[in-house]
Amino acid sequence: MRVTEKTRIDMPRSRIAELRSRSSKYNEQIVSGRRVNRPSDDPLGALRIGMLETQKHKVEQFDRNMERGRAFLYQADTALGESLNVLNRIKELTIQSINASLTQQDANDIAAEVTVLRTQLLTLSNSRVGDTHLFGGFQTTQPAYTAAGVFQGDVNQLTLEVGDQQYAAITVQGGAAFGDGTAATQDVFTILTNLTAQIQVRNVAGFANIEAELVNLELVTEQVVESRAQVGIQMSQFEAAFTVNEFMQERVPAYLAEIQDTDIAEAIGELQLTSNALEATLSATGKVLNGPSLLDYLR
Amino acid sequence: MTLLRTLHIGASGLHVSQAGLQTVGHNIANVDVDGYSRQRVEIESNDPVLLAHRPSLFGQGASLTTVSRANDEFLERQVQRDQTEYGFYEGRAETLDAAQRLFGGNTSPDLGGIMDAFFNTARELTQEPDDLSVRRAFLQQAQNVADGFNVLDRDLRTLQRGVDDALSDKLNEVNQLARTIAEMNARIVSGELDQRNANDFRDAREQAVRELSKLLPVNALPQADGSLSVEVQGGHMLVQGDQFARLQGTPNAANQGLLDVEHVGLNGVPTNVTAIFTRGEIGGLLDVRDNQMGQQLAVLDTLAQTFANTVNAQHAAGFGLDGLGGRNLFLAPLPPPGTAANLTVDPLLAGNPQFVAASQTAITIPGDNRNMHAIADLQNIAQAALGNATFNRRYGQIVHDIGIVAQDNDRRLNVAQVKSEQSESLRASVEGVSIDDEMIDLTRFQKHFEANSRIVSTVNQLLDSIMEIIR
Repeated sequence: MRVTEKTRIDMPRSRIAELRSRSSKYNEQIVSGRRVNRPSDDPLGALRIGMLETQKHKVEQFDRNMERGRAFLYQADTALGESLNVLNRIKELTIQSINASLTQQDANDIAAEVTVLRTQLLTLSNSRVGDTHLFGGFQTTQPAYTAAGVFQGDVNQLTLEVGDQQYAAITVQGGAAFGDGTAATQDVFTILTNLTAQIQVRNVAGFANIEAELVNLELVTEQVVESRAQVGIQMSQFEAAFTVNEFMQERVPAYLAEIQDTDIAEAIGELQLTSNALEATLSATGKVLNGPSLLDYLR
Repeated sequence: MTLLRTLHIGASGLHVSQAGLQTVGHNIANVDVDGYSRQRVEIESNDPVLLAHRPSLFGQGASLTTVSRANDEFLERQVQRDQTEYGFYEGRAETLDAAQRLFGGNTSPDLGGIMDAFFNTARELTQEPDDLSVRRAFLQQAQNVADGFNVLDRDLRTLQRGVDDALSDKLNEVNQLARTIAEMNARIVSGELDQRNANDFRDAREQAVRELSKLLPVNALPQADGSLSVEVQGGHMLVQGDQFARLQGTPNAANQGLLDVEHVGLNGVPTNVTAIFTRGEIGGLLDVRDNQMGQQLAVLDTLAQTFANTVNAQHAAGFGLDGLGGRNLFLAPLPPPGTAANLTVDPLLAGNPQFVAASQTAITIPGDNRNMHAIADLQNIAQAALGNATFNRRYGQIVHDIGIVAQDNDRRLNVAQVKSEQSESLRASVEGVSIDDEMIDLTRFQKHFEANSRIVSTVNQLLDSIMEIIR
């Protein structure tokens, strides 16, 4: 082929441009740390990255949901545990009160203490996490029980998403633990109101009334124990979900990195190869452009 | 008498070598001119004459017949074809690259991330459905999604308008090139009337045709009178003799006011010829504007519409803190085109976070988060209107599709570039100037000139000798 001035200049020029653009591509991969810097770098990869990003965002949210859920369940567990202590103390006092040798003053003292304990129990049953009341079902903005001890919540349990479309309850039914005013449950505050009255009355012939309330108290205790067990079950569900989520929190970014991140060693290798080619091209081009010409020999 | 004849022969040789030197000079001077074809002098012997009392014919020196130019019609066509192909991919490249960066940029969160944030805030709201500040955050995220659609739509349309600006420029270029070709036609026809070659005009005309081929596919038909007729492939006349037609852009209201291409013939009647441009740079611009970006915008509208309608339906099924339901989260979306561009949160809700419908029934508020669960769950649900893809996946598919088109275009652009460089270098090898060749010719004509001068000076000496005799 006849080589003309235009070919001599154009060919190395386009070759150099191509090598420079290739080396800038690898440079970008190394500097940004990303293999996929725009969809055309790897269209399918870009789609996968998008889906994995979504997964990553969701997993992060599930993690926050679980933190919140744990706080709720711990709070419920503590409140119910404390309530059991209070109930046990009340039971002790009640048993003490079934004693004909007590003076009226003693009885009044016991009744007064039961009243204090009742208030404690009310506080516990109206436990909150932040502004949210724990035991009132969906009625989260008001105390679960009025000062008179009337349940004003509902039977719903608040749930949170802890995995893809997996929902875990973060509250227990307060009514089932402390009584909801229906015949299905024992209402602890009604019992305590009655009990206080019975203790004060001290009708020796009528210790049977106090004993009857004691039986009711036992039933309430069972209710609370059962609710606490329920909290335990829900917590273990949480732990299971947490383990899965923990795993996802490690794996998803790892998958993402696999698709998205630059293989630095490979990129540096390619960059080096390109640089070598560029150097060779430049040196050859220099030789060609400065190369011998008939001009050098015509005097 | 013969001596004088010899003097004439020497003079003819001097004349020829001077012409040769001049052509060499012209070639070297034009070595860097785009489209220049190397020229050479064609020399022939003068007719011999029969002289009295001599036994044979005697030569009468040489003379210049013409200055020809190296030209290969086949290679020329090849260059034009490759330019047309290259132009198409080049016309698409810049805009495709800009468009794909809108979808997959590394800097700002893309629409996919914004949708994620929206659904995550819905999940956040399930933690505290009664909390007004979280409700406000939820509304803000909903507005962010709407803004995300607005911005993407706006940016894509800005790119489309940018394509239109480029299109106008290219149409002007076509018109200028057509004018150049027509002017060159006129000069060539008048210049070549007496069989002389108007080489430089032909070069200029060929270069114009070559540049024109990059913009649109053309047929160039040489005519008997030396002029060149040029038509757009598909049969619309651009140049005929010294007359030329025009292309112009006219806004098409049915296509968002984007430009249609009109051909204004010699009779001044415009014809819409947008559809015939499927190749060349103009074809590439129209393709990227109407097909590629047009499609992305349409999908974006469908996505915005489905998103808004689906979320609205679920939101309307729930109840706000005030116990009322049936409210939309987004203002009912406009039909496409304009869905994505105008998506916004219903202003009724924007200032009233208590209206956000987190609850499933009117009697279980304020702690009921079940409807908010249902809204968050929409992220996982495949939508029939989106080809059974979730919102995020459909968006990912848009990104994927534009990535494929851009990647494919890059590859084809590179191939077309190599092809057109090859045909260009083939053409240059035949038609271009080589300094070495010219140096050889320079030396050749220099020697030629010197030798002829020697003839003249020798004859001169002989004449002197004769004069001596006479004196």
